[in-house]
Amino acid sequence: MNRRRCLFGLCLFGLTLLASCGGSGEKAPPAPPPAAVSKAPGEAAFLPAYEKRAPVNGGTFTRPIPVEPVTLNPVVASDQVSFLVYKWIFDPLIDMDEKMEPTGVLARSWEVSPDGRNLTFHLREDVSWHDGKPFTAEDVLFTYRACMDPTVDAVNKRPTFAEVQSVQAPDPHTVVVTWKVPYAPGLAAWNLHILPRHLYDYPPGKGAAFNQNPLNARPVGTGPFRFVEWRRGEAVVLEANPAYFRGRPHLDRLVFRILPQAETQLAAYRTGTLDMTTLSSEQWEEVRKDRAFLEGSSVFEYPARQFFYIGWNLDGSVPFLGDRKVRKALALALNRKGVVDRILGGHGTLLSGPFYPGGWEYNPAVAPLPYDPAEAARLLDEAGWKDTDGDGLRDRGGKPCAFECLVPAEAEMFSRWLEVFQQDLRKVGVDMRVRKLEWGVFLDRTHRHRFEACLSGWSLGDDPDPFQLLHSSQGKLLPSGVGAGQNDGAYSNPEVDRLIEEQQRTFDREARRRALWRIHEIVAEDQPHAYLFASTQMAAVRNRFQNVKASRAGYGLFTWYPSLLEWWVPRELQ
Amino acid sequence: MAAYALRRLLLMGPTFLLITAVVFAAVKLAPGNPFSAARTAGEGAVRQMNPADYQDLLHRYGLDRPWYVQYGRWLATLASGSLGISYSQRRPVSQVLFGEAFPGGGFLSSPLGATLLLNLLATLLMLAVALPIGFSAALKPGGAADRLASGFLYALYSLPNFWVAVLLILVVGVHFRILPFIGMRSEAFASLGFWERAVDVLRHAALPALCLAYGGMAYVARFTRRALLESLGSDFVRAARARGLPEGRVLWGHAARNALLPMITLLGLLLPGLVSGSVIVESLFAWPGMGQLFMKAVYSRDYPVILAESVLGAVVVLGSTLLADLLYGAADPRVRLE
Repeated sequence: MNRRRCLFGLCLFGLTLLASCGGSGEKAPPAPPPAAVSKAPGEAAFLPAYEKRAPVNGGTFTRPIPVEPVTLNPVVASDQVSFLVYKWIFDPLIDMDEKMEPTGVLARSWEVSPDGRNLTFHLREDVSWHDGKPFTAEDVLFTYRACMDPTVDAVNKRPTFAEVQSVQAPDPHTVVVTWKVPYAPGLAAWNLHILPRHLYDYPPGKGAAFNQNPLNARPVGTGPFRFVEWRRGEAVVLEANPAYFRGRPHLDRLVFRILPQAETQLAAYRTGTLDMTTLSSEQWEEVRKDRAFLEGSSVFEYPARQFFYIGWNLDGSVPFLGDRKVRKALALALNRKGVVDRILGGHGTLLSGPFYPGGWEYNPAVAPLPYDPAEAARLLDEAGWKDTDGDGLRDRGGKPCAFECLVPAEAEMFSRWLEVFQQDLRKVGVDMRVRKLEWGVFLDRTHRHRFEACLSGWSLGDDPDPFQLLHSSQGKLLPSGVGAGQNDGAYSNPEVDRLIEEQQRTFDREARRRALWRIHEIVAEDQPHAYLFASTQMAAVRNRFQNVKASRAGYGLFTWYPSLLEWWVPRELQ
Repeated sequence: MAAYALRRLLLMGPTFLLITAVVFAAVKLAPGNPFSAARTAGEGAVRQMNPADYQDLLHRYGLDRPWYVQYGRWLATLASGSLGISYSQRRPVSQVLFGEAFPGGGFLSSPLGATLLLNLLATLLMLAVALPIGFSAALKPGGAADRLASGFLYALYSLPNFWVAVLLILVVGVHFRILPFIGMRSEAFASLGFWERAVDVLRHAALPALCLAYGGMAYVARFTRRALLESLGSDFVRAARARGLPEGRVLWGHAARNALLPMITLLGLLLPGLVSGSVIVESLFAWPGMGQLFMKAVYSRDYPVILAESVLGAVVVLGSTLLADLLYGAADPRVRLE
């Protein structure tokens, strides 16, 4: 779904007050919490005895969102929060299931031609828009055309179709996509939410009408829920679509409440205003002793499809970072396990490369680098960086072994990790200065390759193609001074380039896996980034909701299909 | 008087231009633009935006021009009576600030309406507490009210409001469950009658208004105290007393009325505060006001929204200063300017 830089735990005010103030549960007699309190990915939550009952319809689910959706037009929207809302109003051709396998939604089935250049979708014939009009291939063509129209603000959709030559509809329920070259990552691009042509049509080249369509604020889709109202700054409300082709969802209503502060979120969950809350590791430590909280909640812990890394600038501006031995030494010197254990409360997994741990693309044979300051010191010695002037810092040719690491200031958590890493590096005689920058400034500096090192997060897409992060073409600077892709450190290895191109043309899962595993091995040796860890997230959902399940592939509770559509609330608890 | 007002109005023109130019330059100096974040923060983006598309996008919105050209264009839009179109929300800024149905209605739930309502309640609460305390403090310097004003109110003044906000949420909202603490109305709002709606909104506003109110109490109480003390010590009060007027008459008819003069200055200071939202309080209580909007606009580099809020702020500040000056002139012939 998305592959991007991300801000983890964007929290403006690090209020740690909650931990000391406690909640209403404090009055309960102290009792040991149940042994297994959180549900593992893939494990569905039921109240005792409800597992075998037939689901019933009814109930409202109220969840928080941290900011207001920007727009409910899926082509124009480029933010995560808009997606969380519009994905229930619109349907894509295909979506990802709990295990990251593509599953048909508007497409009944699809096949790739033997030469790997054509992808044919067979559309469902029983789908209608919320206004009653039938859904056809025309709508798919229209949505694709809107994405490709340069006057439409489809800023993040267009590149996903860069390899597409044409899209045609030989009949009202068939869509044929032709790629310029065989392109295996191209299927995932059709996890694209389709708009009704009869309502959103506009003269081609006059995208302003489309970008500013009033329907962007009261959308009409084919999805399992229909739009009810959007109270700006407060909430978006949806209701079940009784005519949904898959059968109506069990829940009657979805309410998305806009709540910017994590502290307020947990408090509102406790008072019953919300049916769900995310839990930071500090908040979890607080509520896990709270019997009242645990008795009313299903708690989930699941890996997120994102990882954190320190990117090194390899463009030659920082000479010692150009040395692979030095980069490996720096990574060995970072006590990443210490950070996971002490700051993330154990909610994280060390990783060895830029892939999703547990995904089919992740090479389990490549072990994460250990914390080994002795080996780090040896490698630095070997590379010629020694403390010759006795100031505690290594140097070579009169230059100290020092660099500056940029970090987005909004992610308070990142700075805490860096404080630890700063000490770790100091122990092996390396000086890391930390520079906090506002997110916009951070992006600008890193896109222009004006940094020495930067700590950031990376969200993994539906397809494991590492092209933007690792291919050398993505590390070039354009005449405008901005990087061509997301390879901000200008990493370049011809063998990796070749393997990336090869796996893009390979549809056979096993052959593609082999290429990706080889990329993983090489990158672990080259260390263009120090791969830190992938975090896990926690959330609590009120346990009157039955059959709630987190994805095994890191899609959490909602970002896979059908997820929420299978939840239900027993009548006596509605 | 009219000539004076007119001259002041004309003088406001250059001030206004200067303010907007400085704001414009400041937002343009910050790196990034409305689309730079979208280049990477994209949902559904398997690859980032094509560089040519990106340049095209900047060009289409005129963002590749020098800042003074962009400023000129923005001024031209403003002169035509429009605040422009929000980059991120892609709808008119007037709708963003004043509500969906602008100019039809629904103003109260718009960011400006929400902030005005909250700040008005907070200001009334502040005045309701601070004025009587300040007044009594002046009547009996060193007495109980004076000690309250200089002790307790100053203690309140020193409490950071995010801390108080969290405390109120946990104690009043979560522990005792007396008042709601998110948003400005409940889910059932639409089904309520007029008075129930009013009560619902007031209940939601209570905690954030309290957070906004307590800090200013010390200031207003001190201000009132000094104004009244000065007035009580002046010649005309002594003269009134010498004439044997009853004390109530002296106090209310002479001293208090004259103490109102400096209060006009206070009015000029309080008015602009009504339209500017508090980022911290609004976001902790999820109050859909101007502060949150401004924060969001800054993060997403939504220039038209940032500028519109700044213009609004500038207009209100200039307007209140003018109003205060005119009121001064009307109330006190000695300061009337010609």
